[in-house]
Amino acid sequence: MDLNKTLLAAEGADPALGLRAVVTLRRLADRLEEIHVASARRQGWTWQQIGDALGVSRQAIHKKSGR
Amino acid sequence: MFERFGKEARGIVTTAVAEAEARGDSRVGTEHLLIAVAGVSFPFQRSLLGPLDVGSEEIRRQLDRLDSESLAAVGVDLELFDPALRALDGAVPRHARRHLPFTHGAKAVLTDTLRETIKQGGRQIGTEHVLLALLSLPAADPLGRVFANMGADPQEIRTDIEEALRRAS
Repeated sequence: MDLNKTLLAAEGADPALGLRAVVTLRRLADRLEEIHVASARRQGWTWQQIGDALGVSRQAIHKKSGR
Repeated sequence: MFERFGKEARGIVTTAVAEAEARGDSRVGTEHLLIAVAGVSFPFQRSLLGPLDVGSEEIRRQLDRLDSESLAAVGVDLELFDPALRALDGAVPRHARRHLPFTHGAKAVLTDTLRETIKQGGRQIGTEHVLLALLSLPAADPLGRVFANMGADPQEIRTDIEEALRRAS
């Protein structure tokens, strides 16, 4: 993906589509996160390790995915 | 605010909330209300809905189509994602949140529903009033594109329904 091309395309694009794309990508990322956090936990990763890998605090990821 | 809602109209709101939860969305929006509305019956001939005379499953398909279109608009091909990831709606048990908030648009629809009821001379908010409120949304609402994709003219359908309701009363 050529970033300049993407930026240029964003100028003329319908904001409704562009913004919806952001939400859709977030939802896909959330699902992906859920699956891989659960998998990491099953393989014995600590919340600290998972948090580090995701670039967030241990508490943040524990609160989001945990029990 | 729900005291004027009839049993069926209440059911629409409950179903919309469940739909948002199942799809993993963070807010209850007008699209969830439309999915819920597609699954109820109305006090008029359903054929008046024209291109919108479809079930909840078709509305879900249309929303998925909108997702693909939006990603394509920014240069991402949704088909590149693992199908399992794309079709995960409700498959992963989500952390139960206490209350999903409503979007501004969805709140406006619920408020508008009462206005529609008064306009039609009804006492209780029925399924038809929720539908009429959804059909009156501004074009910028995500549903505007869904209606267009389905070849539906909300204004025209609205007029037909209002006429049928007038004749029936």
